[in-house]
Amino acid sequence: MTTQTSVIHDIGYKPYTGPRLGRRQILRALYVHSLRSVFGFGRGPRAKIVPFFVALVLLLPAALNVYASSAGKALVLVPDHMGYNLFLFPVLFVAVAAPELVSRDLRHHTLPLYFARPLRRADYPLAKVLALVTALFMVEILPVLVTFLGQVASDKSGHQIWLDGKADFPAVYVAVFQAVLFSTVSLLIASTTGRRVIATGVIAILFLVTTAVSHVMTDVVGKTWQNHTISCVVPTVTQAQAQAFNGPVFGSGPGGGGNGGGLAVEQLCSGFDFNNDNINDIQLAPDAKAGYADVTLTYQTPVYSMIAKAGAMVNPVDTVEGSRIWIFHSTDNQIPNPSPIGPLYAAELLVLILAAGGGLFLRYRKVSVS
Amino acid sequence: MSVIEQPIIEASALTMRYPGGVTALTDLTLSVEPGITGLVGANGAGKSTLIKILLGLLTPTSGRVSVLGLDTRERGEEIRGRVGYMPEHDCLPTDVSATEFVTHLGRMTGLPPTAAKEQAAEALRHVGLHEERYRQIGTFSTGMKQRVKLAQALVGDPGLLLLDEPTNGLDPAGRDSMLALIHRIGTEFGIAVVVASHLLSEIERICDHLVAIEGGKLLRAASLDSMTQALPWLAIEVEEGIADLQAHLEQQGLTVSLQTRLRQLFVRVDGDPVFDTVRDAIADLDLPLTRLEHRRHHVEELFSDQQNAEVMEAQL
Repeated sequence: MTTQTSVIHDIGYKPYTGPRLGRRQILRALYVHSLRSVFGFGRGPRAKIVPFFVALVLLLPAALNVYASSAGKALVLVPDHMGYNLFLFPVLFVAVAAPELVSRDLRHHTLPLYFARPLRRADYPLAKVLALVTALFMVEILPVLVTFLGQVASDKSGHQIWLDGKADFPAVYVAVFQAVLFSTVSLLIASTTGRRVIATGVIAILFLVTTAVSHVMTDVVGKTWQNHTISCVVPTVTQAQAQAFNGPVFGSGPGGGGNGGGLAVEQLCSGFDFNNDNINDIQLAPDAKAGYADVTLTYQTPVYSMIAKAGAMVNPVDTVEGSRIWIFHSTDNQIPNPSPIGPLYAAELLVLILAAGGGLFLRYRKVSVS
Repeated sequence: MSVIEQPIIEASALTMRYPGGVTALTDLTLSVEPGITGLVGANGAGKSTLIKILLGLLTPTSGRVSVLGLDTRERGEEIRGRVGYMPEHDCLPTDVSATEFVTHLGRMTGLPPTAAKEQAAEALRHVGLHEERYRQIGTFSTGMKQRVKLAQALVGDPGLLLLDEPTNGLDPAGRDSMLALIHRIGTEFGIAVVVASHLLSEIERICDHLVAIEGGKLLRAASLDSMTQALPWLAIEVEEGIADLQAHLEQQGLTVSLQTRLRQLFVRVDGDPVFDTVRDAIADLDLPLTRLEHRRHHVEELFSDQQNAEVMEAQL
């Protein structure tokens, strides 16, 4: 005991003497808070519906892929196509999340409270962008990861794992760039209005309308067909194979040139790659007969004009997809191969991200704090 | 009053011109001591601009300001970490609880997670919302919302509170309790408070110091004691013979000022005999008296009536 006498006072107010964090840690706190709110944590149950619905829907093909891998069948949806084929769900995700992140604070005029604290103007949009990019990336990469792990579990050799990993890698590229592009664009839109419904609507409309325009440009305006004729000399054609020629393989109409037929032709005619060049239809030359060794095939491939290739660039989804095709020399495409303007797709992708992100930062530099 | 304390806010030759050409502040020099300071001015006088400059959110066109001894141009971040700001307008989300909201803003002030929770609970308790802290803010009354706004400024034990029109939209009872709360924060909690208001009559009750600005210029800054000390005036209005009365009273050795515009005679009240002297003078001269008013607490007139202020200057 010291000689000092101590008296307890009810002082009511206790000054805070603990640590005070710096700007970087505050920025991190805002990032974590925003990331949680994207998934509806810290909000009511209704806020969790859309993010978890989207995550679940994206996981469905992945689950089927795991089953297909274990059963030794082809994947239901290859990972590099997930982002493009299911783009509606990531769009739905950001259309709901971006307004949740920024429109709320605009609507309730909460921003002055943030800017009256140590955060700088640019920190707020930075935390929001990082949070939405992280959230969308997590949602998009999860099915890719699940598919890959399913493949790994079924793979017999290390080399096969390597090949699967290599094949799945473009999916990571798509997840990253869809996450970054969709997030910046949707946050920029949402930051212009305090009304969440309007922001959600405008974001959805932007993606849907540009998708429609892109489809019209590629499939209606910019597509022509080119005829090809090839002759195959097959020394011995068995009766069974010949019969296949007569049937659905070369028969005209919807059955003609189906996938199975294409594979049969591929086996017979060396150097013929059915999956290449978007071959839509194969017809047997009129004078070809079953049992003959010489087979002449005509088939059509779509030829996309520059209008089609440039037209696809209006759509952010196609921009990511086109740049993937160009970078990874992908062949099994669902949009026109951007060659020779592939670099333009990649450049557009970067410009869009920089413009949307820059616009967002400018928006918050100018926002009034009254 | 004799103790010289480090000023909380020091501004020198502060000028703020907006890009549009509007000049919000002109050559403003002032110093704010610890305690509760009222910042008074009509709407558009430059109060909000001054607050934004103090927070380092606006960079003044020229001049220097320091808050809590820190220069606003260079150390805005540190200042904003130690200053609580309560904006004038509505700034609360409706769909979160008071605790969540204040905790989040405590984190944004720089408190670690656990401390933010504790400090938020403390702040809400101090503003009297302990019971309602888990309720959604949307269900609160205007008075309770004002308290949440105050709590978010108070969270994290600031060295200075900047309150912009804290009694806005409150009924008389709400005003009184809000003012009492601010008074308690300024005195018991030992936090320096600057209260901006256009209603001087309201904040003069709780302020130690008053700063009045008008048209971006400093009208007056003084401690309220000196103002109220200087103030006891007796306003006399007679229908005729005002000059005679003035001469008569001056003969009696009183301090008299003729307010030509008001057609009133102001007599300084030095002590109780003054009232008797005035009464006798009016009776002796047989003047028709229409008004005899004690003007002690009408500080407002100092600011609204330039002439009165000049009388004051002469006397001080």
